[in-house]
Amino acid sequence: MKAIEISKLNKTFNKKSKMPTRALIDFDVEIIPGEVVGLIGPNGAGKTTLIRILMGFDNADSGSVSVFGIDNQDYRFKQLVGFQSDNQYRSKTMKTYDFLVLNSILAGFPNNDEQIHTLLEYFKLSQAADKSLVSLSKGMRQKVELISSFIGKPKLVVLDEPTAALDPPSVFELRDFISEQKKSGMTILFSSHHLTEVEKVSDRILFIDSGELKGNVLTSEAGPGFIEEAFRRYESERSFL
Amino acid sequence: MKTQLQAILKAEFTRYFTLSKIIILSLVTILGVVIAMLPSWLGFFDSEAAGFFAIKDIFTYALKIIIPFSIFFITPGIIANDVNNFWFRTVFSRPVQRQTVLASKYIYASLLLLLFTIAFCLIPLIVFSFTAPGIEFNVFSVLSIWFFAYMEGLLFISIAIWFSCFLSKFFNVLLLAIWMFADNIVINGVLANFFWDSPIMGVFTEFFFPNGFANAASFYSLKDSFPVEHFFWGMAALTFFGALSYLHFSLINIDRPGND
Repeated sequence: MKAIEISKLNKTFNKKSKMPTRALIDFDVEIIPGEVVGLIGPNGAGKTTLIRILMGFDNADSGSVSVFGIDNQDYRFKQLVGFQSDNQYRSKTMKTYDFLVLNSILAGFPNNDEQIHTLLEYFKLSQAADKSLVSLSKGMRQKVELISSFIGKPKLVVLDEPTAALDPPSVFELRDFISEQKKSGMTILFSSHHLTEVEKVSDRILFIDSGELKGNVLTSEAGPGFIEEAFRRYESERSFL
Repeated sequence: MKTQLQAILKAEFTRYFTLSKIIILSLVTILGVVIAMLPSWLGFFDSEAAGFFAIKDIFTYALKIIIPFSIFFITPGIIANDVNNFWFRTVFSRPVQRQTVLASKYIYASLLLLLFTIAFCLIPLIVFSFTAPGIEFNVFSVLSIWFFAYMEGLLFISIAIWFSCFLSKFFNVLLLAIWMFADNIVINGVLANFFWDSPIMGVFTEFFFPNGFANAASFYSLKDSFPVEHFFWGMAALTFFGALSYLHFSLINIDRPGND
C-alpha cells in the first residue's frame, strides 16, 4: 500500500476569467511508506495547491488522492496525518500549551501531556508554553505548528515550508528530528525553497513547475549539489534532468 | 466526537469570550438592574397607574431589545473570520467532521445569547420582583415568554451563521441589519398593511422573514395560552435556516489559499 497515491490531479483557478490559472495538470505521484520526500519548485509552481488538495482543504477539478489507501474525501484519513501549515493561526487568548492540547484531542489523543512536554523541550519552547500564540515570534509560532504536526502517532506528516521562518540552529534541530522520525518508519512530505536542507533530509525530490511534475529524483542517485545545479539548469533550459 | 466537540467548544469560548464581551455583559446587567429599579425609585408603585402595570409587556419589550443586540454582538463573522484567520485550517487538518464544528458554533452562540437574556432580562426581573410590592408576578408566564423569545434568538443565530458562510464580518452585520429592518419595518409594518390579504405576500413573509416565535411570544403575552400555530411556524423557519446553514457550511472552502 502506498503512503500517498495521487492520480491525474487537475486544478484550475479563475476558470471564468480570460486567463485561467492551471495550478495542477494531470499530476501523478506515488510515495511509499517510510520515505522522506522533498517538494521543490519556483514560486507559484503549485506546491501549496498540491498540499491543500492532499489535505482536503480544496477540491481538485479531477483526479484522485488517497493516503494509505483511504480516499482524501473521507475525513478519517486525517487520523493518520500530521500537518504543518505555512500560515499560522494566532490568538491573543489561546496559550501555546492549550493549542497543542487541543490539537492532540482533535487528533484522537486526549491524554498526551508527556509527548507535548517532550516535543516542547526538544524544540526549546518549554518557556513559551504559557504564552499566548500572538505573543510568539514568527519562528516560535512555526515551531508550535511543527510540534502540532508530530503530535499523536501520525504515519504521514506533511510540512509546508517548515524552515521558512526558522533560524539556523532550529533548522538543524528539525533536520535531526526528521532523521529520527524517519528511523521509526514515518513518511514525510515537505515543501521547501531551502535546497541544501531538502537534499540533506530527503530520500526523494519532486520538482514541480507550472502544475506539472518536471523531476522525480532519488537523492541517493544524485551527487551533492545536484539539486542546485539542476534548478539552475532548469531556469535556462526548462529541463530539470 | 463528544470529546472533540467539548474541546472545540472550550476553544470557542477561549477565543471569542474575551474581556470586551465580559465587560459588555456586565454593563448590560447593570443597565438592566437600573431600569428594573427605576419605577421604585420614581415612586411609580404609589401611583394609580400601578394597578394597570403588566410585567409581561415590559419583559417582552426587554427581550425584543436584547435579542437583536446580542445577535449583532455574538454572531457576525462567526464562520468567515475563522476561514480568514486560519483557525479552520488548524481544526480541519485533524479528523474532525464539519458538523462537529458547526455544532460548536451553534452551542457557543446559544449559550452566549442565554447569558445576555439572563443578564438583561431575568436578573433585572428578579430584582424588580423584590422592589415592586403588590405587582402580580407569574413565573411560568414570564418563563414561557422568555422561551419563545429565546427560540426567536436561535432563529436569528441560524440566519446569521448562514450569512457568515459567504459574507465577511462587515457585510454580515450589514445584511443582518437590512434583514431585521425589512422584517420589522417594511414587511411586517408597511407592506403587511397594504397586502394583508395577499396569499403571495403571506408566503413571501413566512418563508423569508419568519416571525413564528416572535408572534408566539406576543400571542402568549396577550392570551396566556400556548400558541401552537405560531410556534410550529417558528420551528419550521428554524429548521429551514438551520438546514441552509448546514448545507452552506458543508460546501464552503474552509481555507483560503496561502503562498505557493
